[in-house]
Amino acid sequence: MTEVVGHNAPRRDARAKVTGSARYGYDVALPGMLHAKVLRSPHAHARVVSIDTSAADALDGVAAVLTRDRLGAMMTTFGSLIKDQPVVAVDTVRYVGDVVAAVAAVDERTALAALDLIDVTYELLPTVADIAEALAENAPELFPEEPPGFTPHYGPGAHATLRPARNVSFEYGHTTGSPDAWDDCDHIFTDTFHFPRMHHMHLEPYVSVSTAAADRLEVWTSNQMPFQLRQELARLFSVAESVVRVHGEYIGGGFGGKSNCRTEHIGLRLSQLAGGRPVRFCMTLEEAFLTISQHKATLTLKTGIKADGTFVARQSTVLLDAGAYSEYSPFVAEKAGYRMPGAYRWQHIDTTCWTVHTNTVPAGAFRGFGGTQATWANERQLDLIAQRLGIDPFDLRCRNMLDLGEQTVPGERPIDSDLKLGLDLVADAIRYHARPHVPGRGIGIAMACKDGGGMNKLAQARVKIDVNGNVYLAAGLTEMGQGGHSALSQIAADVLGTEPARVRFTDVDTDYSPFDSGTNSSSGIVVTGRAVAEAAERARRQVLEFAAESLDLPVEQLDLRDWQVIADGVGHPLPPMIQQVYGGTGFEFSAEGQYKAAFSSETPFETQAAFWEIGWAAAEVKVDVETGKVDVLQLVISGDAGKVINHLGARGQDEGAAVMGLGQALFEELRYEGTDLLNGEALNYRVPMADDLPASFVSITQEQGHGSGPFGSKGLGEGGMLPVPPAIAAAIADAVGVQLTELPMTPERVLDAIDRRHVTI
Amino acid sequence: MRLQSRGAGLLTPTQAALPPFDLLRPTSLADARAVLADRPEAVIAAGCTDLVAAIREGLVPSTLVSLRNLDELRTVEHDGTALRIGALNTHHDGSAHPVLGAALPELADAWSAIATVRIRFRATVGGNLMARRYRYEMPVILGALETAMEFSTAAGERRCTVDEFVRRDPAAPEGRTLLHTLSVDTASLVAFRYDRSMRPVTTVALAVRRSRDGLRLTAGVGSEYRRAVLVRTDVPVAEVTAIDHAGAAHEMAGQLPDRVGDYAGSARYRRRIVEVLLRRQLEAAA
Amino acid sequence: MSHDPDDEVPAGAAVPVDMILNGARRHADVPTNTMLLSLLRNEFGLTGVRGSCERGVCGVCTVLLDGKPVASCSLFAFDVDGATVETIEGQRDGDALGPVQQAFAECGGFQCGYCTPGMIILTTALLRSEAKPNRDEIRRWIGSNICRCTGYEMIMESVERAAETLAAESGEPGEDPDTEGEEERS
Repeated sequence: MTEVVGHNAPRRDARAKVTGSARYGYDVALPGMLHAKVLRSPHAHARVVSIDTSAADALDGVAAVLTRDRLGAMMTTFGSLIKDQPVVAVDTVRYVGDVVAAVAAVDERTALAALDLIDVTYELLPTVADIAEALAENAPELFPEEPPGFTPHYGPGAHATLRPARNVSFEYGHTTGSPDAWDDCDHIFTDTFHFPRMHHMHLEPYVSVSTAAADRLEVWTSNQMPFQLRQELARLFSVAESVVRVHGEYIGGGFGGKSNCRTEHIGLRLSQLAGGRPVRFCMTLEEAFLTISQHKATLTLKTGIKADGTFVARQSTVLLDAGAYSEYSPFVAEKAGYRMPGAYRWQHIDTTCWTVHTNTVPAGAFRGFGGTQATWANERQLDLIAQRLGIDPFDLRCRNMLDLGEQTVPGERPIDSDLKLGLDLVADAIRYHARPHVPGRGIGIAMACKDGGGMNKLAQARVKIDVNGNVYLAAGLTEMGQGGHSALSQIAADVLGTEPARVRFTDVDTDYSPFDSGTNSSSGIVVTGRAVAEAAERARRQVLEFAAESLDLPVEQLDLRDWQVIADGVGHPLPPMIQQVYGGTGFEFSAEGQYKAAFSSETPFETQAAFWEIGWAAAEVKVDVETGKVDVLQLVISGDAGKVINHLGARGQDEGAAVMGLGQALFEELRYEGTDLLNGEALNYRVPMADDLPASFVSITQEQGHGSGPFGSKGLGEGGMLPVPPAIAAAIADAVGVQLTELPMTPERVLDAIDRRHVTI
Repeated sequence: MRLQSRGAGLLTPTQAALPPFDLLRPTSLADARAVLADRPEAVIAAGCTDLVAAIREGLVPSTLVSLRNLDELRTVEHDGTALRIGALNTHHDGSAHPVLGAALPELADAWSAIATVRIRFRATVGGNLMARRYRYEMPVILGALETAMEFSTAAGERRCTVDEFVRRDPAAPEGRTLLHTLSVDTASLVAFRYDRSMRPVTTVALAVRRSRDGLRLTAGVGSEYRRAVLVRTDVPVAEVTAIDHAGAAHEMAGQLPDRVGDYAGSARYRRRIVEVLLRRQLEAAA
Repeated sequence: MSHDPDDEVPAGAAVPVDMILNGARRHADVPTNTMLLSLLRNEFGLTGVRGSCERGVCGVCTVLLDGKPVASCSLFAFDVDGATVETIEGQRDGDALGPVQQAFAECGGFQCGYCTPGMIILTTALLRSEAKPNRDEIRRWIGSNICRCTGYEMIMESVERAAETLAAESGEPGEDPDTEGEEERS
């Protein structure tokens, strides 16, 4: 390893992004391009009786009108494990915003004018606004007929069931150990926690340009999952995957939202209907709010412990509000369920997680992916138990936290961070143990643990080196701000003994880029990174073997640096050596690499976690006991990078995640009154701004060195978000003695809790 | 977002979808009055900050009257008893105006705290009021000051208070009217405070004026989803220090109607924190 | 009294707009409904100016109008007649990055980059009005625009770095005064 990894150098995309020249999906334009707009349901639940598009069809400038009658051979629904979301409404609309019809026209004005001419008659159906209504006896059923879906195969202790109850599309269950453990418990506590949902609010809208020819369906898009998108589009259009080509552009923020079909499926069908003309479909921000959200959740934890505070058994019931369609909900259910043990040691775990359908916007992948919900409940209940037993929450964590190298379940990857080290770090940084007891002020801590790197995630990579030592790195990881392309380029450069500036990260294109199952789960550094490191190692080996033959030296004595082969301290430039053999135009060395987390027959998901993503947080707050207002004075967060590849990138991931957690803790949420979204608009949807930051905001990037990625690295990007809400809740408890169980911790909720405290005292 | 013309769905108009409109750019208030008399369908534009939001919500102007050449509406004047603020003042320019700073520094402070730096350079006080958008703050601030809004209409000059305008009281002119001046009585004003520390849950502005029998307290209360509400109380004392702060705050907060309750805070909660904030304002003013 | 009908631009007609755009004189004849954002992107090819919320809240499309940061999505193009407009494309110093751009690159004041041109423009305006802003001022100015990726801290450090660079540069004697504004910037 040379000196490339771990430097504080600017990212490779810095210049493109600070000059504004980076090309995003938003910037893609093709000659003759049409513009698409959609008509969305005004009703939360209704039968679509009739649709008349004759006036829209006749409008000048309209190239295509898509309704349920014009899907042609296209499959009607899409999704993940359960294909229940219509491309355009077929029989029923299930939330305000459901797509009913789409138009492609010469410009957006014409497309909207055409949509204004469409007649739809609806027959209203009774609605289901939330989890409680959905599960009520005699609740209206959102899917009277079972949509196509399947359950994956699991390892020991895990199971899934489709439609376990009315309005529940998917159940994930997970047990470890023996229920006899309950007999060993001295105390059993049952508590329920509520978690609201946020919108991703990536600033680049959902946007794509699509072209459809007989033998080629091509999309240019801001999508985190080009290969998964290719697969779903091929299925929707009943074509070979090789017919579909997805170009991955720079992504203006994703946070999970830009997964699966967003605009591409509609754009392609409109292009087909318009004779193959390119179709740009750019949603407005308001439409993004009606497209996908985080999962609202109700979590009930029954936890059994010994008198000394040792955790023994936990039964969790997690109800996720999946909204109107399944989307990624089954996967989120798996992960929320799997993450319910938190960072702690248990003899027995019994988790059931349901995805519950309501007549609200569908929920899908969102930074944290079930882990945010699980951490809120886990860490909160730990604090509640600590208070009941009179144990310091710090000590209760230390008593029960997993040790470095300990397994959560047999066969699983051992925990690869020292949890105590991290907790000490944030606690000491905020002076937790020396905190003065000032009325209305308090300090709290929390930590989170999630399996990182995706489920069964596979990545491949290719490294080519031209005659002059320029490196072409190809991999399918998309660049959505996380700095993945920079970090991977640094890894390749390090292995090859060259400067990162010599490495070009080639455009993501499913025809040419090596396969990558998706840019998610903080997987870039470990999973794609391992594939890149392997490809670079193999390319390096090729170069050295070639040089060994040319120089007639044993390959073991050779090293590669700055495109010279070093033998006995003497550098031999490679270009003349290569041209001697291959001629003036030269040659390209080329090698491939691949990585997938180890198979494990013993774990619930039959794979090991690629790594463990840990987040630690400590917060200091001031609470106004007359108004309930909470001011966060200090926030300290920390993640374990294992080994930092790029300091700026690593730090940025943790801080960005933490501030998302700060918003979730205090104010940010989608607000529904019944089935009506109140704040699906930029002015009314409050996200953290610079002036919302605590006066002191410190992030500490640890390098504990136990990671499974190149050079001991681990993924970052989600861990920093998870512990922030419970740390702030713990600080509020420390300040005013009230334990909140529902997010966001609005002034009214805080004041109500303070009132109840006075009643019970 | 708007309802589709046949009620069959929701549409989100984009900027690219806005058709061209007739554009008129009068250069004097008199000219502007004439334009409005000729073109009753006209939409008035100044900073365009809220206008663009309205367009994205479905407004399609066929005629737009831009007031940007009316420099006469960018003045701030004070004759010792009344402050006259031209409606075209941006938040930045208006709040930093030396005449305002000298005449009513508490208003300058309040005005300088709202919106963002970027919006403040462009958005006008007139646009802020005319938008009738609940979460905007000038209706709370100027409402509590019992500011008069002066309009030119096709039927001549009209005048109403900010509160009347917010409530759509019959005194407020309907239709396309040109707000040109805001007038604040400073002669009777004893104290003014604005508290936005609880925003967006609640904001509170408090004006204390000398009345025939003592002091009159007027408070404006704003929130995210409900229009600003004014509450008042009279106290038979001559000085702010002599007011029963807790009692007056309780009296005013108690007048808040149930409809101030919304998603972000119940009516019960709003009354309670408004009482706290008013009491603190009175204590600070004393 | 009636108004002068000569002042009216009918819906079908174009409004002449003359401006100084990134240091160069520019002219365009725009339909009345044209937004500045659209004029910059579609007429002048300044695609570093992008849209997001299209209603003035997020600040992605921020440009300088007569030196003040404004949302180009919330300005009609006809309103910039006679004005000076600066976009992210005017920030470069020849082939090199401008000092604010350099600071954002070095301090990692960006991630996805979508808000970055707007943040750099905000910073430029702030540092022109206050060469040595304190944290509260930086927070207030940067608090105008949304960044969903960074958590803002590294953006604020970028602003501080840019202020230091500019202070150091202005302290340097003998800088060639002719380089400013010379190159074609659009």
